[in-house]
Amino acid sequence: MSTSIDSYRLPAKPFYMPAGDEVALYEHAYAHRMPMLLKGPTGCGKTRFIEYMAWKLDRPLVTLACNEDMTASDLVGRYLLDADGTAWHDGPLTMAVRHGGICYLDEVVEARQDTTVVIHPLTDARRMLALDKKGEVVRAHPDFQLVVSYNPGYQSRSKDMKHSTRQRFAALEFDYPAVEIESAIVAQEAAVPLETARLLVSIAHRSRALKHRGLDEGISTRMLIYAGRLIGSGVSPRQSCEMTMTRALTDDPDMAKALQGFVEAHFD
Amino acid sequence: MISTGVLDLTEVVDRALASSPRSPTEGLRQQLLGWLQALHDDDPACAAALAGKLAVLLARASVGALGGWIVTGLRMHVDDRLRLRAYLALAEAHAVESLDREIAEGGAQGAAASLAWLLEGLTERPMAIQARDRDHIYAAPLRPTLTPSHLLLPNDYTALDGADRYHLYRAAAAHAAAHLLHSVPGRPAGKLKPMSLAVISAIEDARVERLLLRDYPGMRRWFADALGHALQPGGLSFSALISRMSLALIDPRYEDDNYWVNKARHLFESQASIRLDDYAAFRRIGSVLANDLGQMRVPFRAELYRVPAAYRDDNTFLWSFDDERAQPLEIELQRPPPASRGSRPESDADLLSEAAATHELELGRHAYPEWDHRPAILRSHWCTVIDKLPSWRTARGSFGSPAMAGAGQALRLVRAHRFSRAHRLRRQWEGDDLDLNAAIEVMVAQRARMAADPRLFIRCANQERISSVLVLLDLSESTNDRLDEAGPSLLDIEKQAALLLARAVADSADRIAIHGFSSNTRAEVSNYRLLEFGSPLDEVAEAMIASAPGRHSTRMGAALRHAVRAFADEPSDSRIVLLVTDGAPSDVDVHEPGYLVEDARAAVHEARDQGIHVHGLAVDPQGHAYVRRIFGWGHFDVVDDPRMLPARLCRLYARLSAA
Repeated sequence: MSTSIDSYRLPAKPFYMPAGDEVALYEHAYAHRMPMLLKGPTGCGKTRFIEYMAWKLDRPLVTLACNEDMTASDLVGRYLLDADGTAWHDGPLTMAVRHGGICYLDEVVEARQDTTVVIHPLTDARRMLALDKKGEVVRAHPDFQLVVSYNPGYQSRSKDMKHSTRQRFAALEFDYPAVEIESAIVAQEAAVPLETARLLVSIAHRSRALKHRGLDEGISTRMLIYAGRLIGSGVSPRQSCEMTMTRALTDDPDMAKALQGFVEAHFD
Repeated sequence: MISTGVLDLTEVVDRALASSPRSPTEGLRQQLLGWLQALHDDDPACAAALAGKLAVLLARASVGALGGWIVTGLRMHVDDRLRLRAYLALAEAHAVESLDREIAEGGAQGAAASLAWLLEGLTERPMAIQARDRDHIYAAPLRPTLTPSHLLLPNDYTALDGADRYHLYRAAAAHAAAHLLHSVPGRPAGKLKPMSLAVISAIEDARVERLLLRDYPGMRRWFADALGHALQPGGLSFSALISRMSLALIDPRYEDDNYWVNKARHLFESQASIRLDDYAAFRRIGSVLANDLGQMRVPFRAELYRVPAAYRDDNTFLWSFDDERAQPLEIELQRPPPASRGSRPESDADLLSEAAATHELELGRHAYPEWDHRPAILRSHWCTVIDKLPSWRTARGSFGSPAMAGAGQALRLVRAHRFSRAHRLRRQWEGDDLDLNAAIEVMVAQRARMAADPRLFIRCANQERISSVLVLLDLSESTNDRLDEAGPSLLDIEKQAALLLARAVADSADRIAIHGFSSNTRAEVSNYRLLEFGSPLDEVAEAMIASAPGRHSTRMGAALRHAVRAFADEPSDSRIVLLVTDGAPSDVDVHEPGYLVEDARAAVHEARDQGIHVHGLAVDPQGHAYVRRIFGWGHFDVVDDPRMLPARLCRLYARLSAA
């Protein structure tokens, strides 16, 4: 079993540029194995941050992208049929609990609220997981930590966390980094000159101003990196941005025109 | 009937429209007729040429595109009647090409959505884009008009103004953003001469564009292309010199041999290299340059001048004029049509209302029918509703006046419980649980060896209701009456109530719009769009609400029919009009009691047929009889004490939106 959890270890140091003191704060929280909630818009670096921290703390990282159809069994595990009859298979959460990994539930609000209550006993002093189908109670490994993320941008009441859930977490709020830091990140990750990265970041800022005014989300740091990579490999800036930002962000032809307007305002 | 002996224009138009593949509305027919008439007044042969080809033209182009095509022809052949006739008869080389271009391109309306986003993204404030139609084919070309909340774009850019009209509109939006970000609006024009105003404005245009270019280098091409198109090379008229200077200040590659243009460039660049954001320094440069032009005896006629570059706004945004010059530049610029149109007798009331309305911005006119209950007929195109914005300039001062006392307080909506709990959907293809009833049926079916329905799951689904509410305020003269000598007027209370409701709703998912109406005969039903669906309730919006004027009468039916149209794009499940009034409908051109009540009643029924709930709130203790007649039992409330209006309105909203 230990081999399978080891496959969740990060093979190399992920690139992460801190925007504030989030690294130190997270280390303090981990020292107490405090459950963490990472908030922030899509593509601002939440997942990269947790990868970096798992690498820094030398813990395996079990990531689960949550969705609406996810059930509690998908988290904790289930009986499966094989030649000899039924056999129990640990779910990703159970695996992290048993072997002391960091379990990261990405976009936790996407999972239905009745699914997420299974994490309640893990996130208070009990630190245990009840596998009621199997009739087993798993005590959490001392190194186990639960981290969830969600995007407060989708502000609708149906996609909100229950208060009984969210009060169990300490929260770190993420946003797109400040202009200079974001430009440096884009320049580093996409290997483009800082000047180009700055223009890309400025385009993103224009689009972020349209959040809630026609766009659900602005252009993310991740998209900028994609655009930068295409520019770096010789695609014209206009086409790169159209591919990775305009067309990717919206299907509305009018909005696409407006976004392309921002692009053309920056790149001659 | 418009008849000219040889040519019966009405018949020509009707015959052409009858054979056209589209079926244009009555309004378009009138528009077309108007154009033909104007052409005819100027030169009957032109009208005859067009009349001969009208059926062919309408078979290909819409009425709007046709208008653009006619205007293009008029502007191309200003002084050449023969070529104009050939153009209109499609016997000229450019005529077909220009028609194709008109058909291919959309007007400002088509570009409005994307431009609004572009502008919002650049300025980070909500801006509405509105298309403004040419009102006469001979009118001077329009320029954009900018206010802090709206950009009005002319719908009459023709192929002459630029090869790609979207690019022109986009440059207009960028230029507007430059003003919004870097100009101080409404500086007093004081005693500045019109020529100085025009030169200082042109320098300011260039200054703010240059400021914008620091952040958006790619825009240089947007502006330079459009300025290059407007360039009158070698020209020495005022307009030509401004066009040369404007290009010289934006495009560093442009070379000009004129002393004055180069002086302007030199002064501008040396100041730009120190500080671009020093308005006063650039204003001094503008004054120096205007003075030079005066000494050069360059003739300037304010009434003929318009900003040379088609994308730049008319600069009314920059200036505020004293009362005697309340007509901003743009209105002075309208060239009178060469032929007299059917002149309209102006009554005293007209003049009075025009004086009060000088600062208002007209957004569009719409024709609506009216119900005449005696013969029981719907009179088509009976009322003209004019969409307007109240003046934002005068608005700023009046805000925070005692009239809006209490406007700062917040009102919490006591909201009835909304049904947004999870619903259980039965008989689903997939789900988390078995639907027991379905499962039993499957077992039964299996035993009976019948085909079973495999949909035997239960799934959870959330359902949430969003409502759109339009608050329609009666802005008639009577609302100006004060409750007691020192107290607020009913108008103030209405506005306060609407504002408080809008603030309360702003925190929820619901959508709210606030319109106000008043009427001065059926030809002028004013509809003030104080707050639109989906626009945020910011300072400007609040100032708009605060500045809505109370005057004239209450033609409720037309206002209601117009309100229904505002819901056209509302996606909500429940759509509600809340009409606040202080008395029975009335108007100066209607003498029969009950006529407008019956019309309003008909309008309420029409709205209900379209799924829009209309609820009346009458601040009139004696109003029971007529509000009940108009809105029907259970769909009205009578407020005895006007001071209770805000609370009643909010409670009513909570009740209706939860239903």
